[in-house]
Amino acid sequence: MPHVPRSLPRLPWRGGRRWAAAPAAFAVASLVLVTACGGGGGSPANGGSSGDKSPIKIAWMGAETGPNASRDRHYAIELAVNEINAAGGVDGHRVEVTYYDAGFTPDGALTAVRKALSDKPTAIVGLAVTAQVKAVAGLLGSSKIPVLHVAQSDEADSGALGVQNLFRYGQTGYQATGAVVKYILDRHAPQRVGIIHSTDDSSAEAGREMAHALQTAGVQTVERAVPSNATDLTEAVLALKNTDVTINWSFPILDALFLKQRHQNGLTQPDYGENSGANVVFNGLASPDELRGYNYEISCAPDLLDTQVAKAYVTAYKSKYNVAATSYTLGPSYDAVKLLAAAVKQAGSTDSSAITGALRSISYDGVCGRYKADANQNMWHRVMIVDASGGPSGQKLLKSYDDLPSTAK
Amino acid sequence: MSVIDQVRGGAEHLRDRAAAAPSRPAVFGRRQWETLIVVAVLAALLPLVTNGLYLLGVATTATIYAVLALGFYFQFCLAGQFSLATSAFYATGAYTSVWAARHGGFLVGLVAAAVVAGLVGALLKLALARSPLIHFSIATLAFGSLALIVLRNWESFTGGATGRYGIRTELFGLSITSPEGFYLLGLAVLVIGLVLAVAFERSPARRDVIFARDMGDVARTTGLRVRRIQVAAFGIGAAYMGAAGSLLAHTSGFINTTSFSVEISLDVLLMVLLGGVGSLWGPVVGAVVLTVLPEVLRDMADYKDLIYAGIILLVVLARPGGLASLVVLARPAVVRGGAALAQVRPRRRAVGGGPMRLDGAPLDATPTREPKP
Amino acid sequence: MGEFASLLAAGVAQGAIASLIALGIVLLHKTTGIVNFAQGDLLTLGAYLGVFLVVDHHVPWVPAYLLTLAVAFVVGMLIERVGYAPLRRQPIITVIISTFALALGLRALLVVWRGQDAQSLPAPVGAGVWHVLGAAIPYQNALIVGVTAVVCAVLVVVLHRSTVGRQVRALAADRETALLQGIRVSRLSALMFGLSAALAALGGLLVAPTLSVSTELGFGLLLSSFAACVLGGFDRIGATVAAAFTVSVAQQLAAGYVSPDYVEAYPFLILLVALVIRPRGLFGEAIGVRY
Repeated sequence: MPHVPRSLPRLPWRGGRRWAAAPAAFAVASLVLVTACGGGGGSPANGGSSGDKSPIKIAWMGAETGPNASRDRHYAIELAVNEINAAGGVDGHRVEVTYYDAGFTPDGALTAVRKALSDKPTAIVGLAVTAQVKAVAGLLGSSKIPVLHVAQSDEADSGALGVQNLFRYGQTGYQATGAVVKYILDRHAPQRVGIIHSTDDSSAEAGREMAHALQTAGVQTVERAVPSNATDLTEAVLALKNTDVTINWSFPILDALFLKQRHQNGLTQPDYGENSGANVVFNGLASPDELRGYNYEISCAPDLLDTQVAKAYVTAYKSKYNVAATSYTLGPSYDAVKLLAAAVKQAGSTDSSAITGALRSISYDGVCGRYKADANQNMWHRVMIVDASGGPSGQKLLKSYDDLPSTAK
Repeated sequence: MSVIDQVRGGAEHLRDRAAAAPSRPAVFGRRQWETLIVVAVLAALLPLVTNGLYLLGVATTATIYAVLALGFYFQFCLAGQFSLATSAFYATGAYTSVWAARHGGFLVGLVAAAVVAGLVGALLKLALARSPLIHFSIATLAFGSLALIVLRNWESFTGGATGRYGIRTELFGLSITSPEGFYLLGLAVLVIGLVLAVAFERSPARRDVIFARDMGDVARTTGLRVRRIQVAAFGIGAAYMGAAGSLLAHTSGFINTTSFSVEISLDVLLMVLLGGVGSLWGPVVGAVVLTVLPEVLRDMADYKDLIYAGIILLVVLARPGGLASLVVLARPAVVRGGAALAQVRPRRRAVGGGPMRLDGAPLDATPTREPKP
Repeated sequence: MGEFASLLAAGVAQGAIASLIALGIVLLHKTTGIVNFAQGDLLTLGAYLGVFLVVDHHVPWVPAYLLTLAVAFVVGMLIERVGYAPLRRQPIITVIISTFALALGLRALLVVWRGQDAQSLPAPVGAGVWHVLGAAIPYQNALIVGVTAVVCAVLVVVLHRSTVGRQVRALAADRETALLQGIRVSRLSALMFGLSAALAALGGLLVAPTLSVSTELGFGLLLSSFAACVLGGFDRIGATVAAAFTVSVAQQLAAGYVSPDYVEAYPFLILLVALVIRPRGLFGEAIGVRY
């Protein structure tokens, strides 16, 4: 047979004809494997305890992998759980937390929620992305299990989604942007404000809301939308140069980049950001020079609060983990666990509808402040503006807006 | 003897025939239809074994990825193109299906998704027809990213960054909402895709496609329109990916631009290569394994990715032919069992004729086993 | 004028980083035929090693950077031993999967070692800026461009003037003939893997002070370097570097003067349009062995 010299590299599809039953059987077998493992997986480490009372099982839907999976993400939660269990639990019921990786995409959340529901939890906490909450709304509604989430958009409201057992324990985008705009108008009375935000859902929505609110107040705005994975913001920074105040609303890495380039290009006007500003400060993503003039909004900054319970939390955290509670998202997590415990106590049982009813009426004072559900079942009403220029140990509380309505409706 | 006879070699037993006996392509010995029926029946029984929301959800995802992987198989193994634009065709199919299904139900959406994605794929290959392999691959990477940006900004069609929620699935007047229903729907689409693929594999068209892929210049001299074949093969692969997108949108009930990322293209690539490119079943096996594996590893959060990478590396180093090549170990026993069953079956009708055979298989009708790559 | 100068300067700095990565990819491809999927993660590794040595252990930056490059070189050679050498008889596609798996493994190891939190590496030359023609050019960007220029020059000199360079060029021209000539092909392959890894790590060290260090750092930058490789025809150093600068500068200027809303789409658009017009890259393919 004449040999045709081949100039292409030898490619693997030549030959290798295999009888296919075995791989097909392998495929079916692996599904059966998941059947076997799926039932056992996800159960918490501490199994049957001595109590005859059923444990309160909290399914925590967080980011266990991916860029938001910080090292200390479980610390405050475990602190709360240990404190409750050390005091004998809630009316004798122990609290157990199981972590499920919901990632940051709605598909990831869907799979994780399905897995969590198969383990029959008492309550579900977590879910920080609006798209995730919307994706699992139907499932959560039909399960009737009380859910506490921290997604920020109006679209994740209990009423908007038609899910009666859904509650929000964090700030809404409306509250955050409203507080920032109000503070800027009150303090600076600017004529021109520059807004830079990333192109994802919630940041874009926030950018639109703030631009609209400022324009309604007679202020000129300059806006720039930058991709979430941008590596250079020169064009946007230059566009924002001739403004009285700037606002940057995205993610820690992008915020840090903006602060850096803002400093390099000599922008000295005050800058206001969203709650990942805390992340920027405490992870050292910006130098002291770059933090000058930077302020951010946050729902919970325990070390800046004067209440006894906040101080106790800060002390307990430090003594257990040997490091200050650097992430401000931990305070709300701690509160969520204790809030649920309080709701169970008020309800007098671990029944889903009883807990849901208790959450609707309860008024709970946690580390971060007061939790009380409004008509939209949103329980958090405070936003604080913090001055970041002092660095991690020198944060200053500028203003705290309490009793903010959660939506415009 | 003519050159053709010399090429075929060893044709003594045919010398006294008036015409050469038709040859039987080796692929016919592979009993693909039987395997397909067995697998389809076994898989359809899954809802009887379990009715967990979570497990059926994972199984549905596996069928969607299997369809994606089949599409990649068409593009890679048949058109010879290493494409990383999977996520673009996937997304296009998903959004098209949602838009079209509003007017006619799931079937309309599915067909529209496949057609539109297929056309987009064919156009892309046509536009870059003269590019060498690596250039084309990187161009598909760029196209994938570009398509996602375009879709995200095209708010009226896709709902922008918010996406679409509350997508319904209506088939022949029935509304499908249960996890069993979604799984069977995914399985049905996968089986249809496999039927088409097996039919293609056993047709003369496959010979032409492989010929055009491996020896494009020589193939042109025999009158094959190489560019047309490659564009068509690439487009068909893209159509499969579009169909997978349609399945995704309808079985999840929502789509959002974060569901589609460049990582999906890389995941599908990995599934196909891991499963083995020697046969049609490799991509399916790879898809199922790589969908199930992260779920099995779910509880090992911090180390999950490390173990995942380790397993892939292990498979690649130990069995470079992919998982589907594991069957080599089982083949003797299986063949013996199959032969016993086959004794009562009628002889298969041979199909042959057409252009010159170049893979050197001898003329006799028994299936041959080709050497390992 | 100030805006133009700023955008140009930003484009040049971004192009320098892209060209460093692209150089590594092209060199490796020319000599071994492999496209190393782990290139982006090697960049990330370089950045993380820099943070580890400079920030956590207060090693002065010159020895820290040299140590990082050495470690990256060794890691590159390890990749060659694990992902390439045992699979030499296999088709190239299998090797590419294995580099892919190694990339995933490397990223996972980095996560296990340093966690997912973003970190930052201070610039060795400080955070100051020069004011040139109305543009603010950070010292670090000038350092990036300077180091890239020096590295390219050194590479060209080594490739054309030294024995090793001659052997590498022979290997790139035709592997079989190089073997016949007695060139130690396997040793050179290891060398090229190590070199391309070191180039990626250098890119990581240089770019880290201008951004924040995260596990996704390398992958994002990888895409624009691939664009540069393709436009340069996957061929010559000069063509690749020129393509890298062209794409980055074009991206910045388009964002400034055409429309800022699609800034992320420009590199992809440029690449696709260029490939449709000139399928073999902007500069065509080399006929002879030219660098």
